[in-house]
Amino acid sequence: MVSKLARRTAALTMAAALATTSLAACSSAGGSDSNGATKIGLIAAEQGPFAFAGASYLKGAELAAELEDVELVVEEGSEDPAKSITAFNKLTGQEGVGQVVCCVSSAVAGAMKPLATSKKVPLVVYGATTPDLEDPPFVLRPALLPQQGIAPVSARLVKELGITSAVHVTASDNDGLVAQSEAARTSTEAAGAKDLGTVKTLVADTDFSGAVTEILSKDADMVTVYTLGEAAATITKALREKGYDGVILANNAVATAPLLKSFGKTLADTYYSVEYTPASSIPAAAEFTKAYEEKYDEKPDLFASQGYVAVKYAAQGASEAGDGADAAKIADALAGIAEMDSPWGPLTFEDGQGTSEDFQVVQIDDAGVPQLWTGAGA
Amino acid sequence: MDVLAQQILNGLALGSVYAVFGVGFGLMLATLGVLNAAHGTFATWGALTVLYLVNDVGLGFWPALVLGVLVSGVMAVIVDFVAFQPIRRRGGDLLPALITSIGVWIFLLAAARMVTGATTSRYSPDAAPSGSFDFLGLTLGRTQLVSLLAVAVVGVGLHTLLHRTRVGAAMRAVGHSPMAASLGGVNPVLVVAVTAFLSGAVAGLAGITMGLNTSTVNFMLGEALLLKGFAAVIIGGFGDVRGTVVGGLLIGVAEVLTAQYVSGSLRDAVTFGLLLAFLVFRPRGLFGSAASMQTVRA
Amino acid sequence: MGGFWDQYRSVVEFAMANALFALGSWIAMWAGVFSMAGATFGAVGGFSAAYLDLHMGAGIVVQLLVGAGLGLGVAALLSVLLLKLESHWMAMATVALVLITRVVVLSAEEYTGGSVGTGVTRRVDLVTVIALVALVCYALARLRRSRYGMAAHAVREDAAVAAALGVNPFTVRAVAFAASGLVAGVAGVVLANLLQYIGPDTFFITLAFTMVAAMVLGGTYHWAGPIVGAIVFVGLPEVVRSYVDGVDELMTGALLVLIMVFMPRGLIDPRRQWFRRRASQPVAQEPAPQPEVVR
Repeated sequence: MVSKLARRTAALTMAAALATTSLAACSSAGGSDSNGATKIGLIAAEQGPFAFAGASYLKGAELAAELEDVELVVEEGSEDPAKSITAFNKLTGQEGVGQVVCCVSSAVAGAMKPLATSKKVPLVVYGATTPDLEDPPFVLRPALLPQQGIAPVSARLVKELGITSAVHVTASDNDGLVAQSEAARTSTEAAGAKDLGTVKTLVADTDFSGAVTEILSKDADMVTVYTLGEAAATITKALREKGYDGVILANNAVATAPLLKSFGKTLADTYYSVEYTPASSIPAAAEFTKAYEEKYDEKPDLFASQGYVAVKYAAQGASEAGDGADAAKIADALAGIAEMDSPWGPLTFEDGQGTSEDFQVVQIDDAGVPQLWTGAGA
Repeated sequence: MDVLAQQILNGLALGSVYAVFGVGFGLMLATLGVLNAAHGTFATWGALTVLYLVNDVGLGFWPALVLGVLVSGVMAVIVDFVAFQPIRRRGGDLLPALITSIGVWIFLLAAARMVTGATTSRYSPDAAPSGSFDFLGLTLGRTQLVSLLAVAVVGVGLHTLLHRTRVGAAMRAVGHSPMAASLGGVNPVLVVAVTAFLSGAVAGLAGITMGLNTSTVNFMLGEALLLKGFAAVIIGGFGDVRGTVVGGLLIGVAEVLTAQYVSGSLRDAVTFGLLLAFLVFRPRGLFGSAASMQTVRA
Repeated sequence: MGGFWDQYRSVVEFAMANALFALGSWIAMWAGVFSMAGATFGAVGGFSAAYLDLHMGAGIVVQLLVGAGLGLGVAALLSVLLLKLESHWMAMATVALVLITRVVVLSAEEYTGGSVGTGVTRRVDLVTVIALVALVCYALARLRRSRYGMAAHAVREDAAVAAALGVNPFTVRAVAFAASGLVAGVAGVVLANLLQYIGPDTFFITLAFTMVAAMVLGGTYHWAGPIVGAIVFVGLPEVVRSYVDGVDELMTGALLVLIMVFMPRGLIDPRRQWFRRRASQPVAQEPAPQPEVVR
């Protein structure tokens, strides 16, 4: 009974699949780019642990696809390694998909990397920040590494605010966050602030009462917090509640819309470095903000800019590879891109990794709203 | 020295959340014979209820807390009726009830993920207790005080109820033998419902205070509590409210001190290492008697 | 056709990997040992496969042999510690074991990649996975009527009676537990190869719950049970998802409760009429229905 039904369902599905494939073949046969891999696959994260960012990534990506005139094929991956692998296989199984844009979390990016390499389909990473993920020509990361901004910004804060000592907080089981915390530690020390040590937390921690007590016992002028956004905001709030009045430099993930909304004023006076904010002083950023607002009637956020840049980069690769190029050719074209203009300022690429020197400094004001920080004198 | 005392206080506050949850989880295990994989979701739903009432309806934190506790309790009664009662009636064992509880867990977890959109939030800082005050030269957060009060109320209240009242005697009787209980003039269906309600309500209270203390409310909130509460029950000596409270507090202090003086990454190792050691070498736990082992049955 | 397979092949593969895990749990259950430790043995197999792959470039045959051997070895060692426990404590101790496995995976960073996890080159195909499931089933079908099979069944139904008949329940359980470790170790190798990425959460409580749920859902009285259970458990959400999005997990949870309430012995029950007509004689002559008591 069950098996009969299952067989019938399978047969129906197969018939439907055959029909769709042949239809697709017929319709594309008439076009000029019948063999071209011009479509860009995208693994979305509208559900799952990064759902708060997933919608923005997708909107930014779709804006770029519209402006660059490329077709985007979206498959939900929920930032789950197994689901994302299924999504990758579904995408690359489709005709005309020559590259896949994906990945917020480093775990998922790590899972996709060997797949992309073995299938020889370029993977354009839009969010994951673990070090050494890029591996051209098949794994490319236009997304910037936060430490590119943390080093200069933390040094600038030490000098302009006259800081003499700093304590650092990290999530010791996340390579990306450890690298960010390390960047803050070395650059604050180089700028003249005494290093009072690093307090280690774990990504899965939710109770920070112990860590906060440890930080307060060091009595530092400045605390840098490089943990995941939720944890960084919770630690910041707890520090202020227990009377800490020094400078806090935190992961820019504290300033995602849901966190700002739910933490409100408790994040006041926190600094962070970021490549994009709607208040950015970079001209290309203002253009992006305007186009996004026209299309969606809301302000873009960092994630939207990351989705936008990734698809813009992917589209540039596809167009440089030319009509009729296959995935391998597109990979080479992507790996060959050396410069690109972006809302994050002019990007340069080395080994498939994007770099920018135009990071912004933001300070959350007393009402809990991020404002561009222009210096201690301003 | 100062830091050590402060960290012990932090540990007690954290452990009190585990203890409260463990008391509810242990009540269901010892009395109703269900190793309930879905128990963490009761905590989650209690916290989500408060989140909704405080942030969207605009209710004050304390009335919201009472309603959240009620919702978790009622949820436990419904779950028991739908998923555990039919198995209990058949005289089934731990295993089938565990499997239905896994089904309930999948269901309630997925439902929680749907209503939250998998996002994390927190009670509005304007409404929820916040800030801290000096306590014997140490700093005690108001949220920590709430969990310490919760464990005092639940621990003393439930222990008194079980050992000093007729209802409590009936609950323990149902735990030992439903048949004997019904012969003694106790309506087992009602007693089971009351037990399930209390067990869920207490889990809800734990979830609400957890959300308050960590400024983190999401669909996964109860999962960590489930594992730690399970450990508290086993370490404390199963079926004993005092033991579970001590077990929970012990885990909390051990975790915080391990993180401060050894390594944050060994936090879970200490808890679960203790758990396995107790299971293997002292299954009775700190307080349990050999007799209480016989009470796990449906 | 190709498109269809590309889309659903992975569903079938994951169902088969879970079937292996469920079979592992079933083997322990055969002798009355309810264990979730399959997740631990899976981790042993999975991470050793990843290590062999990354550091030695070992092929799938070596990986499977090592995974099976280590799974067997670890299970045999643990059986000394765990099997003396009264059954409920034993079940809970296996849960504790799974919790500790994650801690070990996190701390043994050199071998497991720690919290970041590790990538694995995929070296299995669907045929290999199905062949492994078939091999386990064949072995179980042969064993079912062997002396050991009878002894295991007797120990599960009533250990005291079995002991009176000259069967040593401890030995029978230890053998079953070790064999379940072997199969779960193999399943871990397969899962690692399918996922191509494993981390501390891969072999954790969700997998433990999945394997016992699949086993009980399918039925604990016939080796076909866990396979059917795994197919339903993994395949059903996929089928539901292709019709209605977003409610697949709600359906899975509700269905698991319904099946357990209305078909307490699972989907495959040798005692049920439908099977009895087709089943061969020895199966039909199983003891009369008794409440299943695991003490």
